[in-house]
Amino acid sequence: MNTQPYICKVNIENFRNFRCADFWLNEKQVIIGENAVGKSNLLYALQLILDPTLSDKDRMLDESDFWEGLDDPMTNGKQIIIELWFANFEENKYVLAQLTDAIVMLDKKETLKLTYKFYPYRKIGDTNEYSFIIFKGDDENHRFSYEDRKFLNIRVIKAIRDVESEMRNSRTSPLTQIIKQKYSISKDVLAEISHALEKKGADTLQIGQVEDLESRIQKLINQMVSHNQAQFSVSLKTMNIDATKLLYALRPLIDNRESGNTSLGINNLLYIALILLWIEDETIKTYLPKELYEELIEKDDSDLIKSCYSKSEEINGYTLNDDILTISEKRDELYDFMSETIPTANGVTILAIEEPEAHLHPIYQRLLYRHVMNRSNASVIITTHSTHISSVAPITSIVHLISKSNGTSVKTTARLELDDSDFSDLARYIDVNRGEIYLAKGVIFVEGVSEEYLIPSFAKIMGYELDRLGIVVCNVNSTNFEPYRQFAEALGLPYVIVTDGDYYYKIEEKIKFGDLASKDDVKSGYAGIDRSKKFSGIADIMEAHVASDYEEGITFDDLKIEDQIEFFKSRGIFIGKHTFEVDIFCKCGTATTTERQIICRVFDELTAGGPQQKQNFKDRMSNGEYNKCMALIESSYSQIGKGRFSQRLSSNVTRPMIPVYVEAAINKITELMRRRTN
Amino acid sequence: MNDYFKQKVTEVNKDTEQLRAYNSTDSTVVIAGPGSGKTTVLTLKVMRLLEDVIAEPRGLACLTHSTEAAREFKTRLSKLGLRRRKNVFLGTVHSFCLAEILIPFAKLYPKYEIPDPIRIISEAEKKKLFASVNLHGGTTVTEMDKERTRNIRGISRVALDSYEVALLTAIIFEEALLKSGFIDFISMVKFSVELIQKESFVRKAIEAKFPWFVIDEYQDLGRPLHEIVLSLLDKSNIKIFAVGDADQSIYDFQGAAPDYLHELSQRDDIECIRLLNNYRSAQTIVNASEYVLDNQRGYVASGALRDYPAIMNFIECDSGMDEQYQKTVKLVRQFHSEEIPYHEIAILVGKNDEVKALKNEFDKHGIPVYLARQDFRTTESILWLQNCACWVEDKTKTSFDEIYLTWKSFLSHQQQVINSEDDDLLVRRKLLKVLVESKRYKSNLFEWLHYTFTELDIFRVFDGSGRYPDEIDNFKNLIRITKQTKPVLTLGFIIRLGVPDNQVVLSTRHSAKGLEFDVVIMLGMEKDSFPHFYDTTQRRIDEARRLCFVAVSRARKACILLRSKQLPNKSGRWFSKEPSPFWIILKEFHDANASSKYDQQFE
Repeated sequence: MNTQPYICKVNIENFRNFRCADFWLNEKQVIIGENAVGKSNLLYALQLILDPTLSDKDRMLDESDFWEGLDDPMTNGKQIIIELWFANFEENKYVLAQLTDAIVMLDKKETLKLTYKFYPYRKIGDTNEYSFIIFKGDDENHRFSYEDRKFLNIRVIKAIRDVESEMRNSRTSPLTQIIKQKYSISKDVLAEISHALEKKGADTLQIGQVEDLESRIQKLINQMVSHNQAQFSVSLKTMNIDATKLLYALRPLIDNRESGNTSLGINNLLYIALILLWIEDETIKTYLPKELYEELIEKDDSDLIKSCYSKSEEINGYTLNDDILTISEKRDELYDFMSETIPTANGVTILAIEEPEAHLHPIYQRLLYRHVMNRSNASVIITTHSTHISSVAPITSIVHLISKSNGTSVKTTARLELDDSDFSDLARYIDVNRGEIYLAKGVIFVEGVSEEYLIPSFAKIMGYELDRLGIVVCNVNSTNFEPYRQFAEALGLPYVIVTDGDYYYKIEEKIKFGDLASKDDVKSGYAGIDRSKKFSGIADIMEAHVASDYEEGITFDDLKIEDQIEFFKSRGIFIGKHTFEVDIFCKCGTATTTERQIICRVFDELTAGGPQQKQNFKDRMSNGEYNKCMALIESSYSQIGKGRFSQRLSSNVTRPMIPVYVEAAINKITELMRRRTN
Repeated sequence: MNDYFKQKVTEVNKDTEQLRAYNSTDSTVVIAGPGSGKTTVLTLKVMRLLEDVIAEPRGLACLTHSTEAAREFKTRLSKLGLRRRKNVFLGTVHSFCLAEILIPFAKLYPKYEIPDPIRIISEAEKKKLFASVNLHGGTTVTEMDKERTRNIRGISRVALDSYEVALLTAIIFEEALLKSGFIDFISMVKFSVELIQKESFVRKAIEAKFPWFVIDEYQDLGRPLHEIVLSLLDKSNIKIFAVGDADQSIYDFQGAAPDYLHELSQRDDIECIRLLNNYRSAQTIVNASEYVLDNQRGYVASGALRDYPAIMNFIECDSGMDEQYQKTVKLVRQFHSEEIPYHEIAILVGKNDEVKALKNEFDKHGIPVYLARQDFRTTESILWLQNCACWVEDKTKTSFDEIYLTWKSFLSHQQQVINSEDDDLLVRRKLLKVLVESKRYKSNLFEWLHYTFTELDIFRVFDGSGRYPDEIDNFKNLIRITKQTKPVLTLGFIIRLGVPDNQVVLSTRHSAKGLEFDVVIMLGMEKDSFPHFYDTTQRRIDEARRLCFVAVSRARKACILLRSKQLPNKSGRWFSKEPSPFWIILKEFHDANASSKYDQQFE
């Protein structure tokens, strides 16, 4: 009963924005991407197979549904293919029993595969006649039927919707649907209630089933918004007291007000809560009418039912004890018993919510999202522009749609493999920066706050407005670039890495950092290069590079430092010599340059130290002892610190200050972005 | 629940053990003696499970020993009100293994080297392949197949002796078969056993579809099914409802043995129920059969014929089988004159050629006979032809949809994918047209077959089929019979296939299993004929004893034994013959019991 079946892989060919998109998914997904990149079309591809509300007519596509890059696709007999693979279905006996024909192997694991195919099935004269089929597994004879779809389907909550009128309409109200499908209430009871209502003029209903539903909605809503103290009270009233209609005219009241009147999109929250309840696995009932309870007691040898349910006089039945669902052992036992004794063939519904932000206050966006992602069992797909949502999404749940000249490309993080600490670093970064990386068109990964301040200013002098270009400078606050690098690759984001060279030399095998590079050092190296060699996948490329460009027997380590650095540059990794600031100071040249004067002025302005310290700084700059200058900036005596220094310097930068490797990095990222859009 | 169902449930309510079986909620073995109403219990159990216990789309698997038995179940179940429903499998163990295990799963697990696509070897090819590995002629296909069936690894602790030569040949044969890219009916089941034993996903999928397995004639199904059952009991939550009777285990030559049912019934997780009421026969017959068995089972005649003064008679002929045949004709005439219809009389013999000889004798006297085993097999496609014929005769009784779906599945096995609704409609219309037109030929089965086969191009549909490799030969046998038989056969022959139409039933003792008659006449009750000269080991003698038990217990009212004092051997030399030990036992029983009045009167 833990997690539900979910779509683990998708392949789309020639459909609308997608020429050929092949990607992995997870049980919870957030689809991000610019407007008109194809988010809704991606959902529609899933709907073509899975949505029970689509008619066969809807499923019959036409020429306009082909990817626009194809010439006369139907004359040329092109096909539209949509393939879905599902994982995690083995424990759902009903899905498995219904869909065994769909089983195929994917990556050495059993999965269910469904295919939609729009294809020319015959030729009349020169005209191809098109038809569509949806089939299970690899055999086209095994058609995916209406019956099959009952057990595996999707429900899409549209971005543009009128929740109020939907709730008022008994045909579309999820409330009515739940009552119809999940509860059975005898006609006699209804007649009785109707009679009582007529007499007393009351409008709330004393029916066990209705009260059960009330309390479930209330519980769920409050779970969703549990951050604040305010608890909503939910009640259901009927707008029609006729016995045959009273259940179908239910209206929810929140804190005794009609939900439509409440602010902040509460009614939207309510609507989504109802949908979640609707698709919930109902094997464990929260309410048992008396007769059913007695029937179960008879079949129960171990007093399980007695220990899980308590009598509730006023509604003529028994309700599930609150703690049962939280004790996993008990819950599983009850689940097994119930599924054996009163089997209800539950289907599985994947929930897709389009742009929930359109109707929700930002606070509720995050809360709703946290609930859906972490507490609900259902497999959920959300499309969004809101970083309120994407920034709290699990790292592995991102689907990134990128517009390209050969069709939208779909990049996902579902298969990102990192260790837990890397995952939490990444998650923290994304949360703190409110998911700005998801809006980025390119990223410069840097290791500290100085780069974060200065690189945008450098770029500006070079003629690039990073903000306007959508380039984000991402400060990873360490040299642990690996998870960020993999994350960017998974998302299909162009990126460069800017990292310090961290020059060192060895005295008696002891590594010494911090001094400037000197030709006199016999044994020396760059920690920046050493670190970069360890990036995943780089070693193979290094080897291939050496093998193709150099004589046999030469290893990468034999190459000159400049060549090594050049190699990494071509892979988007830009390595300095010392530290970032020291490399800037090196660029500032002799005592008379404006640049040096600017540096000294900034120091003067910021330091808490006296004239002597300011003089020392100037002297060291003149002597080229840049490392010692750095020490002064960072000393407790000056009370400046790297961050403040860079922040102040950023508004005073000049072109000559830009270290060569930084300039190269900025050029590279803008070039990568240009290339991407083409 | 329809009225028929209700009435049947009322009957079951009167028998405490039947009721226990009907209501059991855990894995159960029902030991069901002859005439104990096992088919009723089985079919009702299936209905109860489907109506009260198992929710759609889950279903159950109901496994039988033969295609005919499956067909019989289907008829009974639909009478009880079973509607078309997903995941209800009714069929033989072989068809289950093929349709539910190999076809869906074999391609997922290439490591087992199951041929893909799955193609079944034809009998002729199998014979050739066998000849190529049996160079010294040390064994037969039957013997080898028995060893292949028996020697599979698994959970069962039943150990039976092997015939070394056959076993060694079996190993070489299996290698050759694997290399040929074909499977046969034995490897079909063996591969399935392996998949179920080793792949937990396969077990999960099977469990999802079939939370219950209902198995008929467990004693006949042999080790492979036994291993499947043990595997499922140990490693899944599937429940088993198996019915059988070790005393009726008579398929040793196919690898069956009473030991497997015995082992299953002894398990701790199995509830064992014994049905001791015999609703079929007179108490005398019940006692006689138990006496042959040499084991007190405690069967009690409980049916309408409980106190019927049963006849047992022992008729000695002087020489030759012909005399037995002639006496048999006389006996049949006599019973017939006493208002016993022909189809309530069965003549049981040892061998198939004796059936042929008997048939000639009856033909000579103009008495209609029915052969329990025809020269063609009642395969899926023959049953489909039968359905077609039934529909041609009466469109209200048979569903054309059903006929069409089967036809479509035949077509699809030949990779003839029906690609669109239009194609679908065309194929459907063609079939409909042919069947409607074929009505013209209903008075001549040969012509009817000729017309439908030509119009539907049936031979081409089955030509080179990997699923039905012997189907064309089987059709040809059917057609040959319809051509040769005089007077001409009508459509009725195929409609009533499997049901004697006021005809005396001629059968081997084996083929009579599962049937029942007022009168059973057993021929060839000499020593070395029954048990056979070659039946020297204790196991073989026990098997023959069970066969005799089966034969006697077919009878409701009368059981007549015939033997000859002299018989010729193959080369025509005459030998004097002692009576069969079973003759002696039954005679001893008969003599010890006071003969009834009717009995004497008959003498």
